[in-house]
Amino acid sequence: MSETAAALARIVEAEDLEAAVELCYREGWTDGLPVIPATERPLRRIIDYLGMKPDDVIGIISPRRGVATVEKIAINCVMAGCLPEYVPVVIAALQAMLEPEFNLEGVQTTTNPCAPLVMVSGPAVRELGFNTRDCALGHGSRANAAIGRAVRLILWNIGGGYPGSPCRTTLGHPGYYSYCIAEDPENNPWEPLQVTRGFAADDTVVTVTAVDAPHAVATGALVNSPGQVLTNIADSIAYLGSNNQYGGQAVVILGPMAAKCLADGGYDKAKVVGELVRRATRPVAEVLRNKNIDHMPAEELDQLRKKRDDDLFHYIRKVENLVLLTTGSWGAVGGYAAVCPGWGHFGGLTQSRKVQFPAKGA
Amino acid sequence: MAIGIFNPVGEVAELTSTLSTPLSGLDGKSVGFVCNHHPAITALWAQLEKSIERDQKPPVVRRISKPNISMPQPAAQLAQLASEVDYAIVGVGA
Repeated sequence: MSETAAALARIVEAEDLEAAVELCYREGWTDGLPVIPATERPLRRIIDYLGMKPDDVIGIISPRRGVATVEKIAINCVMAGCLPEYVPVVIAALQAMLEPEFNLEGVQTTTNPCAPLVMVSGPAVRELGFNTRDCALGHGSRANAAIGRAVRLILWNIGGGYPGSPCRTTLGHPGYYSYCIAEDPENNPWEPLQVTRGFAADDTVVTVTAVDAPHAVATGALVNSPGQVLTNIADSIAYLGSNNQYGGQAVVILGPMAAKCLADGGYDKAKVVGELVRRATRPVAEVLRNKNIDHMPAEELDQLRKKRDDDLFHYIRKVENLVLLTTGSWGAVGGYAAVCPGWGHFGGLTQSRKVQFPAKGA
Repeated sequence: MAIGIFNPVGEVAELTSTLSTPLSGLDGKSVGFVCNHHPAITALWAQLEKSIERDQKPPVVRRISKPNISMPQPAAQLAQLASEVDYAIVGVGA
């Protein structure tokens, strides 16, 4: 952002802690929230833990084409409040976002208010202390907050994801500050997310999808049938302004009560996803009345125009496009779930990476 | 006592590119059109293509479309286009 002497230096001196925090603001090294200025000792602790060379390159981050070296990643992790053990999770998330199908340049610059949602599943959820109970999508946990924050600071400081130019997100959402959740290993009644994504049950895996803010759904799981629970969630996927009208993917987060209701009703995970995809529809006539539908892939739009008015239009085109996980607390009659709509077929498409923790004793 | 603070901003990766041969003009040169077909650019793009074909009379016209309005054009398609035309015009509506 700036070309001051500090901007060009590897290490900058500040008079004291207060001056260091202000220096981070002045140099544009934070997106508005205060950061922990990265000093030698915590930085060294992370790099020693990783057992990697500081100048090892993990990737190039768009749109600024910033080089994400281990040192630069570690600096941003210190600033976010990460413990060393969190950093492999951050690196895995970054590697996943750098897959071409994720289209990180597009995610960083689109007018759509989508942000990378980091979803952690596997043994490290408990080992690192992620919150998967009350307020699982919100505040209250260092692991969730600091890892999500580190990802954002990396996209900001290395990737140049500054609002206005070049990032044109019209609204953004609070998850732009930190957007990291974890699957509950105990309350999830089905196979864990990492297994669905093709990994082993004892792998810790990071899955990323670029999505809008979570939209809560009161499923009424305590009093409703499984079918009604599914209909309530599906209705929140298939709204007229959703970018999923253009295809792409969405994330559905079930609270444990909604998950239990469905599991007790005989639904396995594949059946839940299949039913949500089947039910997340609107009549074709309603969809075509919306001129904004022109962003849909041309061939798909041609096919849609040949359909009858009362045919059903599916917001999620195939089961692979719906990410389902369970987290949060039980609650009462509400039995909450949440829907995070994706950006459409334009990018931010789901990617997963196994977290590579350094060997113990290495 | 002063505190040493590490700069979190990454270096910018160098772009490697080769200089292309300058064209003396556009008349009679083959042209490639690369467009993302965003609704905001469709009408302008059609006029632009028409005027270049009318005025410059390119012997070869190649058109490629981005996979969607936001995904990057695959590098292999761009390389193929570069091997087939003298110049290309890239349009991205947003």
